[in-house]
Amino acid sequence: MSELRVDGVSMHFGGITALDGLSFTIGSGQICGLIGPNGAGKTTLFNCVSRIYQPSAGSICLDGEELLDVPAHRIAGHGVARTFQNLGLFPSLTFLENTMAGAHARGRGGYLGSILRIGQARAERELRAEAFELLEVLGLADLAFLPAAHQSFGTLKRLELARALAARPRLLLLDEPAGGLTHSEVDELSSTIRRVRDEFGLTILLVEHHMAMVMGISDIVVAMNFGEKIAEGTPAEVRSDPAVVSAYLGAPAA
Amino acid sequence: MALPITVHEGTMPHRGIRLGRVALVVAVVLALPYVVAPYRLDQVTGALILAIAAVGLNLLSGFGGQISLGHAAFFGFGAYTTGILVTDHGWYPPVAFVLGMLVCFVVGVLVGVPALRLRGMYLALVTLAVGVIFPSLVRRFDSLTGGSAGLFGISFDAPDHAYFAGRAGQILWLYYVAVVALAVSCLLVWNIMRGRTGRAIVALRDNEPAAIVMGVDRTVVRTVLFGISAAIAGLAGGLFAVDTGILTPDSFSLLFTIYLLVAMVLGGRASFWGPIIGGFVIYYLPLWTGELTDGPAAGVLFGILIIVMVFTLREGVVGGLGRLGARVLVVEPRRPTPRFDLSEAPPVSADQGIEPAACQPRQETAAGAPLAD
Repeated sequence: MSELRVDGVSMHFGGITALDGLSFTIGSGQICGLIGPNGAGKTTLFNCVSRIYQPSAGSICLDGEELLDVPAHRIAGHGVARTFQNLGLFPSLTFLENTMAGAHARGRGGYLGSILRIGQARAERELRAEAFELLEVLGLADLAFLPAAHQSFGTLKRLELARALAARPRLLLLDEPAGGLTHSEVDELSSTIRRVRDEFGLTILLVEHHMAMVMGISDIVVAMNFGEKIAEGTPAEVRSDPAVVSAYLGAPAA
Repeated sequence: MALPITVHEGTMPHRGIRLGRVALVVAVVLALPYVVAPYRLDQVTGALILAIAAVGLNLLSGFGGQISLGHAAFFGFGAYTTGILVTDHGWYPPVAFVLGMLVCFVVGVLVGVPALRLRGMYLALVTLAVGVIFPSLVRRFDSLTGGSAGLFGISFDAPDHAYFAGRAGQILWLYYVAVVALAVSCLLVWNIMRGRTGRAIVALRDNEPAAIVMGVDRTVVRTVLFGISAAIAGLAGGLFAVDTGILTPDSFSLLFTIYLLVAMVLGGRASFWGPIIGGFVIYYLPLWTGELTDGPAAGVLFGILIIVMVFTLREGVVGGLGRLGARVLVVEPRRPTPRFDLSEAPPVSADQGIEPAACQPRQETAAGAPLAD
């Protein structure tokens, strides 16, 4: 149902071309891993989809809706949620409050509603219950009332996932989810990502350096180099693609 | 009995403790006029006014994380708006307070716009400029403000009732007015902070990019926050005008803003009671040091006491009290009750128990299996 279509996306920084006519499609419910050597343009593309950058040309559509027309603070309302490489959490809020904050785009009532307390209590109660259930799903319920700090990186990564899921996204963007995790934490996160994809019917795009993880969880892999797509296909296909091998290891001697 | 005592949120003991706390505050507020001499009560009113301004600053700087060195100007805008309307136009003071708050809200939003792009030192400088300009503005438009000579004769006369008779009655009246104003300010801050908007404010302070991605409209949240903070400072200014009766530009110098910042930090930033306690500390501390010694020594003692307090109470008075309180009483938060909504999809699997409402139909893809295009 939720299909992400990246079509001819180019991005120039001054004279440098970071992305050059990049196109690929992630089918509904697929996990797509974006790989490539440093400077290949993975993060640039990621930032275009999550609306931090505005590409010079091209189109990025989610279910036929142009995301490039949506400002950054509205993408959550358009079904896109993301996590951050260095944790996008709010340390002075509790686990539960962090998760509730993730649902911000779905809520209503600004300052006036808050001050006059119009229809807030009921919505807050329901959101609390829903956020708590999300924490239960991710095995974080016992930490619900603790601040989102002083916990292991893996735990906080899971909380970030809960926070992203609270927005009820159709497309989930994961920025280097394995970064900074121990070996066992990576395995655990991989299975969690797959599980939430199945349970919540998500389409997932992830940028990741951890090859074992990408190859393990992705349905399709897009390999990039110098801002261009050099390969696309199943993990097995991409792994054996000569262009990918040469991008990572250098061209074989003639 | 072993300490700490654990109380569960929402149970009778917990409600009793909360009710008891409210009752204690109300009792102290009502009993105070009968316990202290009128001139002492007048001092309490002064401290309450400082506390209101600190509550306003705390909303912006404590909860919102944006520093302001210009709050003396908002305090001044409120004071002069009230002063001019009451003396020159004969307005009823509470109406003038409200208009003063509106003026401050508008000025605050205008200052808040550049504040969107600036932070830290740079924001401090912009707000500092506002604070520095204000006394000069007062002197420049002296036909309106009375300039350096001052604006005189601002008063808010007590209603014609035996309870408020005489000079002591007038002091009592202003005390109650200040109490109501502080209560209104606190209710404003409390309501903003405890819901969706409050989470957005703290989220922006803690991690701005993440907050924006979650749908927080930074422009609206930050500018309106600035405006409301300024409006509360303006309310304090209006009270200051009717309490002192005289306004001169020197009352609204940079030093006043510094006092507010010290009050906020001493009391405990980003807490509800912090700025109130801080307001009282910063009002009474110079009075006490002035009684103990005189001349420059009093100022030195005042400064030393502040340094000692900041070092011993890193999270302010409220933070210190909170840690002390946690040894005696722990409130166990209540887990939200699961929703039993029949319209929602049944649980995915037995071990999951409850499925979140966000669930969409399950995908047919086998986990990990590659999907052919």
